[in-house]
Parts: sequence; structure tokens; C-alpha cells
Amino acid sequence: MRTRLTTGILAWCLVLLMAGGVFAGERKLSLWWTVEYSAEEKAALESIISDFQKQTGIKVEWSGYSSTDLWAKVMAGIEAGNPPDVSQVLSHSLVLLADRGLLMDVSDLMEKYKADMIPAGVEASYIWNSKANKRSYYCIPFGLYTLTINYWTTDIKKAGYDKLPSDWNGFWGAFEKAQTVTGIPATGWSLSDRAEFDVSWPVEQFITAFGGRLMKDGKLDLSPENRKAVIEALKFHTKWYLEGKAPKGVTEWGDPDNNTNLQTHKMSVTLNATLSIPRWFYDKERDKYFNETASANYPQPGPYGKPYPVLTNIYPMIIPANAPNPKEAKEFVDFFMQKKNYDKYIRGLEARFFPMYKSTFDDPYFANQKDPHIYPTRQHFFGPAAPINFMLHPAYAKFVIGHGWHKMVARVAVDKWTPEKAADEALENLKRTFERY
Amino acid sequence: MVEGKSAIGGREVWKNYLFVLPFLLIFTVFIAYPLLSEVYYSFTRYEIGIAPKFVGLKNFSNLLQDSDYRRSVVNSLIYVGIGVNVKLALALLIALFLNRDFKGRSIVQSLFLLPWAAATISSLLSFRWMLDTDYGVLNALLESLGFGKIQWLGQYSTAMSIILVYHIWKYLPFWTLIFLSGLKGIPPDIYEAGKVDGATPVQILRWITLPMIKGLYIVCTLISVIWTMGDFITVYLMTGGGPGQSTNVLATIAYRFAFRFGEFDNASASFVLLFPVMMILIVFVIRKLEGAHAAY
Repeated sequence: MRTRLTTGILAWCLVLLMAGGVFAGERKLSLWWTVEYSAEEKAALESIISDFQKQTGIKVEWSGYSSTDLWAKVMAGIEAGNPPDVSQVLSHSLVLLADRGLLMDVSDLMEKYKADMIPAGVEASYIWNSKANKRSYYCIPFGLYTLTINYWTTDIKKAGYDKLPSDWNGFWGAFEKAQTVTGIPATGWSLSDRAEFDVSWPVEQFITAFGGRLMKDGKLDLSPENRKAVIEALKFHTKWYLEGKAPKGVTEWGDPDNNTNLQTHKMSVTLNATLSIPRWFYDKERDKYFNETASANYPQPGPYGKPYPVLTNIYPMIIPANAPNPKEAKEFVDFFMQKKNYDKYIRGLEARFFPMYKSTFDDPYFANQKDPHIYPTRQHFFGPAAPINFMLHPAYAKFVIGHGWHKMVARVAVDKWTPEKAADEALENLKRTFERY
Repeated sequence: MVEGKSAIGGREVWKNYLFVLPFLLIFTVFIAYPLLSEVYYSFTRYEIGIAPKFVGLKNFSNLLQDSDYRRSVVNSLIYVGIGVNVKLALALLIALFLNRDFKGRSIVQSLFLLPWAAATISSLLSFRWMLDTDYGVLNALLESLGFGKIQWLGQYSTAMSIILVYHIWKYLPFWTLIFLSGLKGIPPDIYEAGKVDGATPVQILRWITLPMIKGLYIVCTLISVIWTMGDFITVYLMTGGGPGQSTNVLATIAYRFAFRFGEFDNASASFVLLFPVMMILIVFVIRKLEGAHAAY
């Protein structure tokens, strides 16, 4: 009896050891990805994963999350020592992670791709690392995006315009005029903490349009000119709501609310970080996509008669410094960024993000001049473009993550502070954040 | 002989320890260790990618200078103070009502439990949609009656009130159920004795019912304070801490520190700062509870 028991135990140990050997020999990687946009996006990713597995024999275990959930999860995973091998992250959290030296330097990979990449996107990927005391490439940017301007052409036509004026005052004045004709609120963008980029990005873009350059040569610049630009931007950002030219609920809008309000024609124009609004029309009411709505290029020059850059941002892939399978992670990233695979994925994103590769912009999907949304937005990347400020310094990123601009906007829209007082509080907060770095 | 007794006693003691061992293990792993770690981290600089380093009281002094944090403390005290007291007082009143015999009582009881049974996230989203300024049913009703739209979640006073209303609506049934079971546990002969002595219904309530469930009420208060203090999802989903970071409570601001900034030190300190208040409250409630037991 005892002999049989011992033999049994030994046999099981042998089986386990063999299995362990097999598993130990298996190459694998874990991938955390954002899946929140379209079925095509997910299908494109799965197809790339499948091709990668076939070609390399590396097993990919992938999980999908919403972008905000993924942000918290990556943070917890890295800290707990259980990170993914490759992940997406939101750009401002990327800046914080890179600053702490928590991401792998992927300059060797970037060197292979960057010649064909949009310069503003490359610049935004060159990030500061306080631990290594240097800037380097701590991510692979695969998506490029900008604050798009989506509007109802029908409202503009009713106001007597064949097309939108291209100067700042004429451009925005057209929507004000449309409201007097249609009775539909001219604009609408979130003034609430429930939204993320939909608040901070318009603020940043307006500051830039009013001539503000808060980051100069990697340093914060709080000159009187920049203070004035922040105040003017804040006035412009909130005046639509305060003057009854935006839906009343903007002070409680989350990120999707400007989508639904434009889609249901409760306002004439909105700003959105992706082309998700037109995409909805394309899927549900294609006639409106082509004939009743459009996306605009930014009015140039700015309100003071000077040209200004359109702010661009990246959607990055990262490899955590403590990734368990760094070699496999790099192989996957390299496979993903190969033109054939990359183009398949970026097409699957259906212009949610624009390509990082200049050559991919030649794809008829992005170069079709008859497309009323993709083509005008495409032009943002080929005109004067600059990376958004929070990509340039971790303290700035922290200020934005802490909803510093959100608070400033709410001070004026909700607490009825003067723009000067609200701007001063925000700039003081920004200054203090920099001082702590 | 004495030695033998002692040996048996020793074995008994070890057996007793063995029985409480699972609890001790769970307590150590899931309560004591995280709690002590939190206290430790609150005295360190501990951010993502930076190993904990002792900094004394610096985190606390930083927090006290942070206006968003100070506001979250005030909001937490409002949330707990009003939320717990109104909820429990109402729960007791309703439990007293449901403890009476009337036709359809079981149907009323079942209907009354529905908010508690409803999934938290879907009920929160329903609340939010009903209160939407532009599309919400409540504003549609107000407009049809000739009133203007109210930005329920877009201004501090109404947003904080809505958070409280939701909290009370959602958790009132649970506490009602607890009080109802407490009321059912009062021996009927005590009521009968009261009636024989000629006590009025109000006197029965004052001198029999309330003293009999006093201990239960205190325990419920304690538990509810702890649960409400840690409530994250109501504020997070209802307002996201807005407008302008004005409705944050400790749970949401700690989340902000930990998972948006990677500042585990401030996240820990934000709760630890309130430990003394909580401890005083807990000791007070436990003393009251012991007093109540001693009286009976």
C-alpha cells in the first residue's frame, strides 16, 4: 500500500515537473489595451495578435479596459510588481510614469520609426525622466490626435454662410449668428470634473490661440502676457455658457455628453478630442455625415491676428521597466509598428486617432478630400502644430491630472468668480506644483 | 494531580486558540496589516516608483494646506453626519410602521426593499439621468409647471444634497430591515405587561420599544458611520467630485491621490488624519453600548 502511494506521488511529481518544463519554455507576454470604441478596432488588434503569435510562437494574453480604468490598473500593476508587458496609457499619466523611471527606454525602437513620423508626435514622445535625469523616448506613440471641431453645416447655412469664415472672430461669430436664426445653442463643451480631456484640452488650445505659451524651453513661464492669455482664454471658454449660448447642463457633462448633444442637434458646434461624433453619424445616419455636418480646421490667425499652433497629443504604448517579459514586449511592439500591421490597426480605429506615420496619411481613407470630417482634421497635423503642454513637464501633467484647469473653469462658471481671480488661483496652483518638483 | 489538571487546562487553552486562529489570521492579513501599513505610509514619502522614506508629519501638514482636501473633510463630515442620522432615524420610523399589522404589509415591505436590491451602478446612473439638466425628467416636470431648469449636479449645494438623497434612498431599506428584526425580537409579554399597566402607545414606544433597541441603534450608527465614511462610488459616479472638486469626500480624494497621482503617502494620510476622530467616535459608541447592556 505504502509502495503504491509513494509511486503515485512520484508519478504526479514527474508529471508536474514535465508540465512545468513545458510552461517554463513557453514564451508569452501580457498586453493591456483600451477597448472602448468600435468592433473594428478590437478585430484589428486581435488579427495583429493572431499574426504575431503565428510568426513568433509567443503567446499573447491580452485584456481590454476603458482608458480611465486602464490608467488606475497600470498604476496599481506597476507598484504591485505585477505589470503588463505592454500597455496603452493616457498620455498625461505616461508623463508621470516616465518621470519616476518606471518605463523602459525604447529609443532603439523609436529610431527605426521616427523618420516617417509626424514631428509634433515625436516631440511629444520625448519625455523627461527625473530618475535618469534625461529626456528620452519612453513610449511608442501609435495614435495622434487633436481637438477636432465638429459642427452642423445646416445651421451655418441658415445663418447665411456658404462656408465658415476662416478668421477667429468671423468663425465663432458665425455660430453666434446661427443661434439667433435657429434658436439652437451655438456651442457646448464640458465645464465639469466628470470630463477629462474635454475640459483641459480646449482650455490649453484657447490659451495658445490667445498667444499664451506657458511652457518655454522646458520651463514654466508665468509672464504677464501669459497671465493675460489665460484670462482671455478662460473668458472665451466660459462666455458661451454664461451668455446662454450653450446647453445649461455643460457644468455637469461627462466626456460623452458633448457627443450626444451634438448628435441630437442640441447645439451647433463642439470641440472633441477625437472624431467619435462624426463616426457615430457615419454608422447611424450617413447622410448627415456627408451632407449636414462637418469638421472644421482651426480659424487662423488667432484673436490677436497672429497664427497659433494646433495642439496635438499622442496615444502611446508603453513597456513598464519591471515588465516580466521585456524581450517579448519589444518584439510585439516592433511587430505592431511594422507598416503593414500598423496600417491595419489604425484603419480599424476609424479615425478615432490619426496615424503617426506620415506615409499612412497617404492612404485614401485619410487623404480623401471629399470627406467632410477626416480631411479637414488631417490638416491640423500639417499646419502649425505643437505638442500639448502637459507632455513637456511632469509637473504640468500633474496639474492637469489634478483637474487644475477644471477647477479654474468651475470657479467662473459655477462659483461666479471673476476670470482674473480664477486664473490667478490656477496659476498659483500651477506654480506650486512646479515648485514641488 | 495538580500537574495533570494543569496539562488538561493547557490543552484546553490551545484548543481555544485553535478555534480563533482562522479569525486571527483573517484579521491580521485583511485588517491589521493594511491598517498598520496605512498608518506607516502616512508618515513616509511614498509615491509610485519611490520607496517609502520617513518624513514625519510632512504629509499631514501638506494636506492641511490643501484646500481641496480640507473641503473633502468638511464634505465627509456632512455626508456622514447628515447621511447616517437621517437615514437611521427614518429607518427606525419606517420599521416601527412596518412592525404593525395592516393589510398588504408584506407587499409594502417587499416594495420598500427594492432600492437596496437594485444594483448600485445602474441606480446611480438612473438618478443622474433623471437629474440631467437638459434631458432629465425632473427638469422636464419643472418646466411643464412653468419653472426654470435647475442644474442639479452642476452646483455645490444641490449636488451635495443629491448625493445625500441618493445615499439615504439606497441604504434606508437595509437599516429598516435591521431595525424591524430588532423590533420583532422584543418579547411580546413586555408589551402586554405595559398594556395591562395602562400605558398609552406613546408611553410604550418611549419606555419599552426605544430602550429595548437602543443598543442595536448604537451598533447600527457605528457600522453605518464606518461604511458611509468609506463610500466611494456614490460621489465618484454622481459628480466625479465636481463641480470644481467641491463635492469630493475622503474616499474620492484618497482615490485621486493614489490612482491619479500615484501618491500613496497622501492617500494614506488623508484617512489617517481622521483616525483620532473615528476612534473617539467608536469608543464613545462602544461605551454607550456597554452602558445600554449594563442597564438591562
